[in-house]
Amino acid sequence: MKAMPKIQKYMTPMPHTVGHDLPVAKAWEMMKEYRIRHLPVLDGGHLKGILSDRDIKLAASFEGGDRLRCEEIMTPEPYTVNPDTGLDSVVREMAAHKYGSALIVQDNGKVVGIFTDIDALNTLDEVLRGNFRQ
Amino acid sequence: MKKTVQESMSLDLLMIGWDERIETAYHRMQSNRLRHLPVHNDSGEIIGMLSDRDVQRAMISQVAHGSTAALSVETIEFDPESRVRDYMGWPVIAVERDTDLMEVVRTILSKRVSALLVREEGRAVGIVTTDDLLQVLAELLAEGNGPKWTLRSLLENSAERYDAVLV
Repeated sequence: MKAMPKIQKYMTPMPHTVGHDLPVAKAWEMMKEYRIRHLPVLDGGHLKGILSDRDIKLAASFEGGDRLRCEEIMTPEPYTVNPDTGLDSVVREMAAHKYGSALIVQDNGKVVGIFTDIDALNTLDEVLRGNFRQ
Repeated sequence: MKKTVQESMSLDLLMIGWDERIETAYHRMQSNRLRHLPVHNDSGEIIGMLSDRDVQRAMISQVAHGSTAALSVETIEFDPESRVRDYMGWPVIAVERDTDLMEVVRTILSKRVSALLVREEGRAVGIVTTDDLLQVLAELLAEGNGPKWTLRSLLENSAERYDAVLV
């Protein structure tokens, strides 16, 4: 039996990130420009939370929502895993809790990748095609 | 004639009319723990899909600053004039019930949507979402060469674990 591949094989490496004090409007521009739905929020290189397009749409409904900073509307303590975590375990957790993404963080705290529901669908496509990368 | 379980299920529980208030759609999603509602017009034809993201765009919220930097939402309100038709995604993207699951995945990816309507002989029979497909991936990875998943089996196993629903 072949070993389960690690999440680092399937993640999107070096994701775009935002600073915790960046205005939400800037983060929204980045999402539109790069066509992404998730942005890790950093403070001095350390992960503070995750910002999704859902958070931004909710913020847009607040009075003065456009003047908020990313850290005010992010989800703190996002789901994180080590790059060596098995793909199956990450997918299982995401499915069980309906997480939209997993952040891949090294032991030194550096965010090295992101695995989103879109990455998961691409992985499912590979599995169904039988070209699963082991 | 005795109705089957499928026939007796209320379509209204799982769909929303295009002329209904967004607030009604919000509460229907919340009470059924759904992130998508197919939208029908006055003749009962499904013409769009409303996602929780669409509903969020229509919200007028009141927020409070707590002890942390993060804000908490105190109340969620909607403009009573906001209707489903103004926020839904349309035209609705649909697949046939016997569509290969791989094609379902590729359609969701290429159309950049999070749910598809499932039809059989012109009739809407359910929806399939990215959350359902994530669950399929989790089970495939756990089972190795386990049971072959199809869109049909996903819909038929939908009762508890999936968003995919039969209507």
